[in-house]
Amino acid sequence: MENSKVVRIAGSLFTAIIPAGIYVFFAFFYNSHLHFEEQFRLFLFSRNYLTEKLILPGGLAGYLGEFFTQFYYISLIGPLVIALLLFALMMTLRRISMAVSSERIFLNLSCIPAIIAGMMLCNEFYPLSVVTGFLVATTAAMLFVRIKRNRERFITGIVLIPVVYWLAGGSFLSLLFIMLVFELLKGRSACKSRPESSKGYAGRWKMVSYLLVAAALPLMVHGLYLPEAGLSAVFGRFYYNVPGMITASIVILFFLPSVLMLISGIFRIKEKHAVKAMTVEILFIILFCYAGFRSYSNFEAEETMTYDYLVREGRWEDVLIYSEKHPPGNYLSLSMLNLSLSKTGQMGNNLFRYDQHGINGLFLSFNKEYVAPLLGNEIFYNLGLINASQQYAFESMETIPDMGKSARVLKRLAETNLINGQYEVSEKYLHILELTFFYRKWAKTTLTYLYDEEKINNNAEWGEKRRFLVINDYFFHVQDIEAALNRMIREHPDNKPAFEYLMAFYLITKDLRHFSELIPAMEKMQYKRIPSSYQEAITFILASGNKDPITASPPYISQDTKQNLKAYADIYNNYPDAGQRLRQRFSATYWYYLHFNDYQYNPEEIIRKNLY
Amino acid sequence: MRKWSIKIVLVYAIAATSCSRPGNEVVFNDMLPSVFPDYCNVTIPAGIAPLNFMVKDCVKSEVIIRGRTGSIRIRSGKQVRIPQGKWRRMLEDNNGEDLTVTVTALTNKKWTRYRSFKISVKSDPVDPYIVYRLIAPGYEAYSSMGIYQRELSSFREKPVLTNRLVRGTCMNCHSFSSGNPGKMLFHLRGDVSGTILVNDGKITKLNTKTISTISNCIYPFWHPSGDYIAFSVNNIYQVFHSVGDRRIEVFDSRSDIVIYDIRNNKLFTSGLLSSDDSFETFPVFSPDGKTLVFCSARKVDQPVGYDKAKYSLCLISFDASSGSLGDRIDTLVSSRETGRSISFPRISPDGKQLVFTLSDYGNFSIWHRDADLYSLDLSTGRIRNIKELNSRESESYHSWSSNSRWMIFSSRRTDGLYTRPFITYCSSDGTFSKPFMLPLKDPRLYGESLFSYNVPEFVKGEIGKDTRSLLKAIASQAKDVNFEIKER
Repeated sequence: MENSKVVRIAGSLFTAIIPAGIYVFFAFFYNSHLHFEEQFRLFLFSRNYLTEKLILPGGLAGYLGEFFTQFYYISLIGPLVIALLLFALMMTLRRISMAVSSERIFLNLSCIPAIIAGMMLCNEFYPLSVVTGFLVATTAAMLFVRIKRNRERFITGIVLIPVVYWLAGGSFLSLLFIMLVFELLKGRSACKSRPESSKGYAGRWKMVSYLLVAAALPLMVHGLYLPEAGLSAVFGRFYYNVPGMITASIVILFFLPSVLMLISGIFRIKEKHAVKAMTVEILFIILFCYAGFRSYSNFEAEETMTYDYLVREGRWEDVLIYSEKHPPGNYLSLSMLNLSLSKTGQMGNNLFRYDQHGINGLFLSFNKEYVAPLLGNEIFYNLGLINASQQYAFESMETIPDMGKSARVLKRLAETNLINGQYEVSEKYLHILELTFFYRKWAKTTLTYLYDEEKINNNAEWGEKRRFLVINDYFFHVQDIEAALNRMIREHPDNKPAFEYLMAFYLITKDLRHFSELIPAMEKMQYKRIPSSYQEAITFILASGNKDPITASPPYISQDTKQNLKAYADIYNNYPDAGQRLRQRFSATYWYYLHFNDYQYNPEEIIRKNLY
Repeated sequence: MRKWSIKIVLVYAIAATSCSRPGNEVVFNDMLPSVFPDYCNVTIPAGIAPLNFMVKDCVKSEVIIRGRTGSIRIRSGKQVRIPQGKWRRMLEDNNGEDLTVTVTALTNKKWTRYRSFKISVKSDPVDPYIVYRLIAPGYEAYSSMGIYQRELSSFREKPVLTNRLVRGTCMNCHSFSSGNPGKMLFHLRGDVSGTILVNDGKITKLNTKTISTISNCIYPFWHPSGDYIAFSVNNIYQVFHSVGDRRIEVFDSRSDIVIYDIRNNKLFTSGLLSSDDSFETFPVFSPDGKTLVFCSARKVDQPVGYDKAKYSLCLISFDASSGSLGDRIDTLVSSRETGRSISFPRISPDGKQLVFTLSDYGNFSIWHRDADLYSLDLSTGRIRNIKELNSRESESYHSWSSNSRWMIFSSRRTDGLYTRPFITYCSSDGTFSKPFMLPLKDPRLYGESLFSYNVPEFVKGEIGKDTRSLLKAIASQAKDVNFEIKER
């Protein structure tokens, strides 16, 4: 086969493999990041929403980015959207490259910016509008480079710069650089063919004109229309989720197509070296992909996001399955695991199967950031602390870095207000959610509940929350959670989740005095079998009081517990390296936690740390 | 076959056309139409922007607005957008007269004509701008927020300052000297803090915290001369309720009143306004500048006694020439008599009435559903519940137009949480008209917006200071204010 044919086929295959690879990555290895991103967006099909975006520089990019982001809601569609957008980006970059070089070997290099854009999406601070904005610019550049006649191309360029700036924001710089390099290469080849021509001189004036227009634009907009802080004035609001900030990655991304164009336009590869060059190129790109995706991705965050996603979906058993291979690495994940134990009725039995790190693994504090309160609200919601859940959800939305709104939070606020009987507010949120694609069905259904007390009370989830609503008012703060849980149990002795959380609180803090005060309430909880960690704690209390826990224990202490206790005690009392000996068989017991976990409770603890 | 096709098309066209406007088959309904915002029988100033509204639960609508001179017909869906030019001319031609609005709506393939309602157009002008803060009705954190000005004769809304420009910073408590946009102030809290004072063309950033005062200056009110500003200084706390219909409680653990002498850069007070036994707050100067009215409550232990703090309305004399305060405090309205708590006193510029917010306890009334507007006739001393303005939700902050004929106030009547601005006409006998919600180009925005309109103030003109000058002042070093206690 001729080298050129090999190069062409290999290039085409490679072009197809890259988006396919990106799809596989996001679909099967990094999917939770997409769900995380989607839930902190609120795309509305409304004229006001569109207008609010389009009156800003970069607004179309932002609008399209948010439009496509909503499809992250479906696990396998989100990655497809990303792959298709990146594929489109690759195609425009190829066309641009082809305008300056007929050498196919360089066409593969032109896909590198698209790959970088894909890498950036691994970081939750880069929104999808990075890709859509970049695509708008490269599409405009593609149109530009196809115009053969110089005057037409110049006029188009002068028009395209402000148009792309308004539609796509900062990626207009990418268009600008491509235009400059294109004119440079055009001028260079014109000079080579007709050195006596003055076209080179005219080309320089064109480039200066482009530069002047590009420089004036943000100054004019910033000065006359929309003052913005920091680099938002040049790039717009839609390239990074922290207002006013732009990263080096974005700048490099915009520069890169023109640099690659320059390389393509200047260098030549001989036909006989084409296959070798292609091989080196592909290997480089593969290594680049590997290193780049590794660098941008954060699999620890992905784990936490997976916990969050499964909790959001109410897939409690799946959380427990997930934790077997991915034990929680921080309080955020641990609190979601503990919540899942509660929801599956396993908290009392299996709490100490997992590595508990204090009460921050039960409750999350609000740290003026958006993740902990979102997860923390789930705990309060499931306990029946509806106002606290509402507060946390609201705080989460008000601390989203790019100052956007959240569909997931609005859904929760609609629920909390419905449960609390605040129907007008709930209705407001539901009408907003009706303007979304993926939440409208739920919103329409929920609207039918408003003002219908009987229907709400009969709803399995909301009815239960209503049954456990706080009766006597008090001021809530998560630092007083112990008192809050005690109040809840006094008001609703059958609130099992609250009871088990309080038991967990005392067990984790090793506060066996208060634990034992709850034993009468435990006996009324109608457990078929008293949870094993409670049994273990009770036997320990008996032993500490110089009673024989085997003979003096109440009838609900099982034979298994007694036998385990005996075996545990034999090793604990007789071996100096008891900790090691006991680990394999007894590390999930409360006795082991009491003896070998060095956690010391500090009442100030639920303050600021959600990482350990 | 072709003839049949044409016939089918014609029949369809006739049917479609016949549904597009009401004809003889209109059913009459004696009820008022269900519209949002509720503009039925409201009173408006002649210079207001079109009262665009939505007809609820309909597919199409026809609205006819008739005046003594002229009429406007609008055929649309449920959104009724009145052409601005035609509206302006209609108001000019019918200034001081009533307009009649007739709504006919298509619902379930039936046209229904509702009872007509009136819109009274008053010739008393309203100040051309209002200024408010847009912020989510949240807890501790806030996202996007800012101070905005809105031209009342159009839908033009411009930011004065937003926290996209001054990151990590909250801007609040904007206040104007007698509605003068050239004499204003607002506070900044957060990463950048200080008080920005715009006065006679100059912008100054002040540090109003002194070692002798509880806090930075907070709730402001300008003296009519423009030479003094009364402030409260407060230790403010916020806690969160656990029971459904209550969210947030905001209270002072300490508060006093100070006065800022602008010319001498000096804060002063008297022992009567900075007592350890009471909370003094919400100072307001009378229109003649000779009296300082304020709210005062006996001190309670907070937060335990949060619902025991009940504010009375008090006053003390003030001499602007010497910058001195009187030597005794008089009580205008006692909380012992009302059994409730007063906040936000505001005296009409003509000095005839004082409107205040009354709630069961405390002073941060926006979070109290029981908060309502009351008026005190300053000549007779009569207090009345302004029932025509109140709803079962919170009515709270309010401010007067410069001619005392219009008042704007905050209300949560639409859903109980998101504050919306309402404007009402105050006639010379002290009665108020049915308030109307600030008109928007697209009233659906009220439903979609997740912001509250906070502290609406009438302003006599556009704020001329550009953002760049404000930002320059914000970035500058704050000027410290001096402090003294003045006793007669």
